[in-house]
Amino acid sequence: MQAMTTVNERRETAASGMPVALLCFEGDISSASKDVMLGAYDGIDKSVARVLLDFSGVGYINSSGIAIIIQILLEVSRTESRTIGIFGLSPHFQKVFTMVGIHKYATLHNDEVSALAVA
Amino acid sequence: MRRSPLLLLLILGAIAPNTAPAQSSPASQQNVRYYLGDNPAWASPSFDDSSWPVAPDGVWPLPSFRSEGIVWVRFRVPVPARCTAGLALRLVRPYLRPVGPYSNAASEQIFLDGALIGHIGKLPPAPQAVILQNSTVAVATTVPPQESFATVALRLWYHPHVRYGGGADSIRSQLASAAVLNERQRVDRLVLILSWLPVLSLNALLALIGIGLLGLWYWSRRRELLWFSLLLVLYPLCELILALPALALRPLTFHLSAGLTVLGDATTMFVTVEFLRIIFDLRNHWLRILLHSAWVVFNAAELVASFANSGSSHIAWTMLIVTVAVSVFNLGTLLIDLRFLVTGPNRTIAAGMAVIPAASSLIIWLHLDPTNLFGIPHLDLFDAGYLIAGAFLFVMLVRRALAASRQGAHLRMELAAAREVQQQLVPAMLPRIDAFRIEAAYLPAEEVGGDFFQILPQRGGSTLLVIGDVSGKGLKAAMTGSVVLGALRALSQECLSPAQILSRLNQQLAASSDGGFVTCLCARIATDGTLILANAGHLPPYRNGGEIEIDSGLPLGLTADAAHSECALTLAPGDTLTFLSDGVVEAQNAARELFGFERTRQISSQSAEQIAAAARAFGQQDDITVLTLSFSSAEVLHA
Repeated sequence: MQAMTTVNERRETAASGMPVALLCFEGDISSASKDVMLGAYDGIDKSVARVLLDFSGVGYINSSGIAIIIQILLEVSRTESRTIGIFGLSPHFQKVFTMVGIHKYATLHNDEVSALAVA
Repeated sequence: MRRSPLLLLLILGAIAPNTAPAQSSPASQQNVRYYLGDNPAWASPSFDDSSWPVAPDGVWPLPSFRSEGIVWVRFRVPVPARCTAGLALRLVRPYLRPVGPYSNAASEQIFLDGALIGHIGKLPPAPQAVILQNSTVAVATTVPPQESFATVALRLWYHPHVRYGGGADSIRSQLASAAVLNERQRVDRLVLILSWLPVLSLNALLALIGIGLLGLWYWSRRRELLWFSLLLVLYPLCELILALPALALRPLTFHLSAGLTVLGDATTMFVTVEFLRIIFDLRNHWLRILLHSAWVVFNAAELVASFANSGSSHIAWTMLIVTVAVSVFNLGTLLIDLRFLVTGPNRTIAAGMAVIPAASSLIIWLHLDPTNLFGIPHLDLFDAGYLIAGAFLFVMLVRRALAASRQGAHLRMELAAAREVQQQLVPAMLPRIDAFRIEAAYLPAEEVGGDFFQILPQRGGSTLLVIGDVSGKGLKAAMTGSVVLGALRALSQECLSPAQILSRLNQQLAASSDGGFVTCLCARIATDGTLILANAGHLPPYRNGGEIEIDSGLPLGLTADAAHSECALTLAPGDTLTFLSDGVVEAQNAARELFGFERTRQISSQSAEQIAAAARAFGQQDDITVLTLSFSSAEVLHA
């Protein structure tokens, strides 16, 4: 049974001093997560230039969930100047994200510290 | 329905003149006097009761809750002229309202000219209340012929439960031939039973509908129907319990009647809460606990109060608890109904259900308790609310069940159609290609998925191999897979490279994209072992148990400008290629552990059947497709 997706937003400062918005996902990511994920992303202050997606609380991401993530990344690459980083993925999903080409639209990191260091 | 009381009156009219030549004397003509207290001497005909209060219109007040509960009532009845032996005294209770065990719970001793001629129930010091009905008591003694009047003294004890609400009582009496009065008693009982027929018939109809709904539940397995059918069966049983005193041959003890009522109420209230939980999908754990607690407390307190024989302070508190608990229950269920009436879903069901606690609350708080509602004897506001709500909800729930059935049939048709389309996504027969030994295993999941593969021999002897997976499930995924294969067959005729094929497929899919995507791996293999691969987000293939490193582009259908690169390598004779769908790596066991890439790599050199079987045994979640190609150059095969 799939666990409902929840998102919490918090703010951090990158090593460079740049403000960073973190979207921390929990539960499973599937087609049912679309509104929650898009809503959370749209809610981020437009002035934030770097967004990190934290998947460390996520259990499973199915193909529809991956499609949603790719849609967000494609939209960002077309219309915004901000950059996206992703961390907290299990090795399995790191490979899946690489396999579907997500790494071309967002940087993949092992953890939050390394993600903030790059920003 | 409205004609039933008229019919009863006609029956009464036909019977009464033949069986009741002498009418009972109205209380107002009998100069009824009463006294709250107890003294055996008050039974004597010589006792001077002129200082006792006169009961206006023969109506006397009930003793107070905290009193002993005893009242003496005295009046005189005319002695029939030529009949002093074989007499009986008939007591008729105009206030008799057999609407519940708590209206008439009392006991009495009947004295005629000082002699005890009968008793109903037991009086203090060891009282036992019964549900009082009209009664006829034989007069064993002979009334002196010179007397034109006899003195009747009644020693009445009212149960604390009856006294708690206050109120009054009255009686009519008649002294006449026992034969005449017994016949009148028989007719009276028949009339009382007949008076219950309309309301019991309505309830029987409700129960029959409930039993019918049980059948519908068995067929549809919709839990809301089970609970609602139980409600429809239980309420008529409760109504039957209320009618029991009228139907029973002997007066029922109050304890039995109250016990049955509590049992009926408790069961009905429990089922009501569970029905609300199911129909409104109530997730609030505390609300359920509150409602269940309310009915438990209400019925427990009711039982305690029913078995008490004195109006002590703790029984007064118990009666207060009864009122509070039933109010909490009514208010709680009413608020739930109103909440869903306002916010949905199931507004119509909420409207129907709201009628029941609303009717009950009106009775309790505003004392709106009209019986004989709509001219139907014994039909009160609560009954009417229940009948109306029951009929309304029956229609609504049956409509929902039928709609769900139609939807289920539609889904079954869609599933069948999806299965049919799905069968077209993989070849029924693998093509025979000289340079390769090809094996395939395809295990569709329970829910129709969108795995597909094709092996298409090309002009010039090469082979085009395509494997892919459509995101999502059901008919839509299968149809998308079918569209991909149709486009692929057309493109395969154009001698395009794997990357060009993926780009063209991507453009077609992106033009009609609805948010989903298709992962796809395209390979062209020449007879000399040259392999060209292009990947759109699919699992990379394995060569002799090792993953082939291949640059991946975005899955198809997400964006029209996605680019896909190619890589080339040369197979040696004896090399085995293994292509998979994500149903292998994302097989999941009960602990939600994924089969994963490492396990997949370790078994990737096994046969297609073995790999698929291993993934299924681990925990199949999706379609599993495995394709293996063992390369032997055409020269070797021909040698």
